[in-house]
Amino acid sequence: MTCCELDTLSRYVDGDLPPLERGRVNEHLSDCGSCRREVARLRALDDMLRAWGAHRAPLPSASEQRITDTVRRRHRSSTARKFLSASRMTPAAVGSSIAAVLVLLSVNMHAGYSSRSASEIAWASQQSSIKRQAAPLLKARRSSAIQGGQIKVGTGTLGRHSNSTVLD
Amino acid sequence: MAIALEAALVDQLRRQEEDAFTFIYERHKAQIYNYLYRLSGSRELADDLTHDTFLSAYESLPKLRPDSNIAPWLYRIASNRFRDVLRRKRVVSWMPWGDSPRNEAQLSVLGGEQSLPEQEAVQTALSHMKPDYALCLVLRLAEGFSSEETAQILGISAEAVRMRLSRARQMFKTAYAAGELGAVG
Ligand SMILES: [Zn+2]
Repeated sequence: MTCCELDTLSRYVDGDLPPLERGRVNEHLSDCGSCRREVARLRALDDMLRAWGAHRAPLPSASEQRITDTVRRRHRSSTARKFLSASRMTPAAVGSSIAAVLVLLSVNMHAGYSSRSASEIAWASQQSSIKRQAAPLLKARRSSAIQGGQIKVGTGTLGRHSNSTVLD
Repeated sequence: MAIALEAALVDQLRRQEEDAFTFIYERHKAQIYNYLYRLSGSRELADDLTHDTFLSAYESLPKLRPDSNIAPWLYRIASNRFRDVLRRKRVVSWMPWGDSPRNEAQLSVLGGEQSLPEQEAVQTALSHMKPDYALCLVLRLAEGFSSEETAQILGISAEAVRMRLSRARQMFKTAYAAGELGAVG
């Protein structure tokens, strides 16, 4: 068999060849030193790029603050917009929006001492179950990108804690 | 289970729920920032682009498709923001490492491990490649995406990614070898 094309070897290294072709390449590699060396070079190149990709610096806190502030502002204005456009739609929508606000207010007043509304508590419990399920997945996936224990769900909320940086 | 989890998250994101957005921001901020830093070679630019990426992401939440995967979606936005910069030619040499006068200053803020000559050589080699090929190599190998995910991010087919990757490896090899020769000679 003649030597493999570079494209074939690249796909071989990626594990992208169909089984039959992969078998043929394996067979060729077993008695061609030149193609074996090419495969080794490709693998070394990939390893070098992977090692390069493993270096990660944290996002500077000033940038975090800027992102948090921008998103918080957008969230506030989009929430306001949604409410306004809902009230423009139908009288029924106005009615139900007002009813929802009243329900929320009464829940808030009712649970005044706990400072968290029923919907927030439901959210938090739903989110903490997501967090529990996600933890092993997140660890496995590109571990260097995720700083353990820093994922705050349900407790950290954009816009609700104006004097603390929720996202750090 | 992972798929159901992601689907539930996407559903919440589509409704622009702030806790869901906080969650994905926390999960991906370091990845996105470092990806953009790798591409631009500048902290300042990576800063701005990370900001723009998350802002664009927030604004396009209602248009997020129900079957989306979050990471490729964010990387797609980040890659597009970076390509906008290239298009506006704010970055003259797209990864301004090798010969840039700012090189020394950049290295000093990088800290010990990233100023290793090998790290520098990788960055320089990538900066001499066509951006589309370099992006493919960075996404597939440095960021660890599959060919399918890389295809989603770049808006091309998985087969096109495989073809590009093969070509990109050759380009990288040549550029890297040229850099080594330059360093020696
Ligand atoms: Zn051969």
